[in-house]
Amino acid sequence: MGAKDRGPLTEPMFYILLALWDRELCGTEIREWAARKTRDRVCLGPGTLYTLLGKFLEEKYLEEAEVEGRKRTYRLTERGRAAFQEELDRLRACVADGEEALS
Amino acid sequence: MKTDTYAIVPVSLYDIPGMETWLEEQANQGLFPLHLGSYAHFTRCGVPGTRFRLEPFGKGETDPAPERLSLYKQAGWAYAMPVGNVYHLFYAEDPAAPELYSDWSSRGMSLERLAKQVRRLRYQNWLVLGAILLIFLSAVFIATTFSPLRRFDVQPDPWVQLPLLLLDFTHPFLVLAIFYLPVSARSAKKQHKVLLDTYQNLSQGLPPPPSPGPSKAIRRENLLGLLMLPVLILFWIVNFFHIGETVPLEGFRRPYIALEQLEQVPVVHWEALYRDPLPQNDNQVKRDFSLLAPTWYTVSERVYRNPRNGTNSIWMDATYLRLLLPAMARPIARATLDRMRLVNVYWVYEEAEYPGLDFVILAWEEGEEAAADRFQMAALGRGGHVAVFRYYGPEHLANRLELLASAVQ
Repeated sequence: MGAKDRGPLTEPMFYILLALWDRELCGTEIREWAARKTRDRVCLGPGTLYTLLGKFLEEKYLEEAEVEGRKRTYRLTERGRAAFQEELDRLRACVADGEEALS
Repeated sequence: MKTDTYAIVPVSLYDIPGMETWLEEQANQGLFPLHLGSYAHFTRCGVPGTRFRLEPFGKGETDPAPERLSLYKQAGWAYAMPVGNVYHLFYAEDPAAPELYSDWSSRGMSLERLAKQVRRLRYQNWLVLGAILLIFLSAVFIATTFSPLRRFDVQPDPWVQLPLLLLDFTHPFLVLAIFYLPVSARSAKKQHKVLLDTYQNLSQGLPPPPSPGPSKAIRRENLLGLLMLPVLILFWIVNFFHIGETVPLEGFRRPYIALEQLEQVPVVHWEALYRDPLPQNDNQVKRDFSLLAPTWYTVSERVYRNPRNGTNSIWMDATYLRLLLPAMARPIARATLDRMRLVNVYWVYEEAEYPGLDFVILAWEEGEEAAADRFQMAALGRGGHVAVFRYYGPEHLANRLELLASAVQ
């Protein structure tokens, strides 16, 4: 499923993929990273995080890197990278359109 | 003080926000749920201000996944119990615990599987109703076409017994089930719509639509469901094992024509003849019940005559009905005659008149008119009262109409 089928990524989706861009993290680490990165603007609720991780696994945007007891570590797949890149391009185009209109 | 309390749940399980709010109201009264379904079981250890959230089962989940438990626990949410094989119930007593979902869209996504199941269920319900109807029609077709006695039947008429099937299928057990299934399906459809509307709003990033919340109708439906289940099981057991269906004739108090009244020569029962109990109980009453025939029983009796010259038995089966619809009397009488008929002999049917009766149908074995003992049948009706006799013996039923007519008067 590409972005065109799914529609744009929501903000929590965006930051989950971004958090995993160049590192492997578990759910708690993703939540903490997103909060830190956005200065608490994006606070991923545990339900949101668990649901989106499950969805991304199902869509093969993510894969499990390691399972240690209750802790699961995730890594981004090529498919996930492509989806994130596509979303970034879309956002850039939005910003460019907005700036052009305001200038 | 009682520690536990029970209540009929007034909110649909498909109304997730409504159910969560109702549980929170109970918590404010100090109640904590131990079971949630058609009824709720609470214990008095609830903490006012507790928040509850219903989380749909994940794929293949019956217990929450360890990762989910861990993430929720870190955020201050504890697991309470599974609800209806559909949800996990989580709760947070700490008002500072963050909400489980930080956006509507991901909340909607969590309902995706459940919404798909509900959509499938809507079609499945219709499929089940269709299958039941098909089985019913097939049963009627098979019963009328492929009866094991059919190949011996010299006077087949596959449709004549249909009115009796109508009585069979207005048995309270079936009527209850037939009324309950569509009522329950209609209610389920309404409740499913609540969930699908919630899912649709959330998945579009919108807040859920206003919850229908508690209602007397849902409470009634849940109460009905709770009551219906044991009643249907009880009915099924009673019917399946034929409990109380057949009783000995001795001690039976309802009116019937006894063979001793019919016979003009002295007759005795087996016990009087041999002073032993009957090896198989030929003197018994089979009771049936249908909403269209509140009174419906068949008396089977066998007596013996000329005990000094051997055992020469006379027997009679007589079905007595009181029908709610008098218009059904003649078709039911005709159908009962056909059900009682010995299939391997030809029967001659003849209508007769008798004062005060709506109809009299007499039947006898063709070619045996002159026989000393012979098979005969008679059906008499007046209003909704019907009596149908199958007799083997020396009497001519046509000559005993005065006695037989007393059964319907």
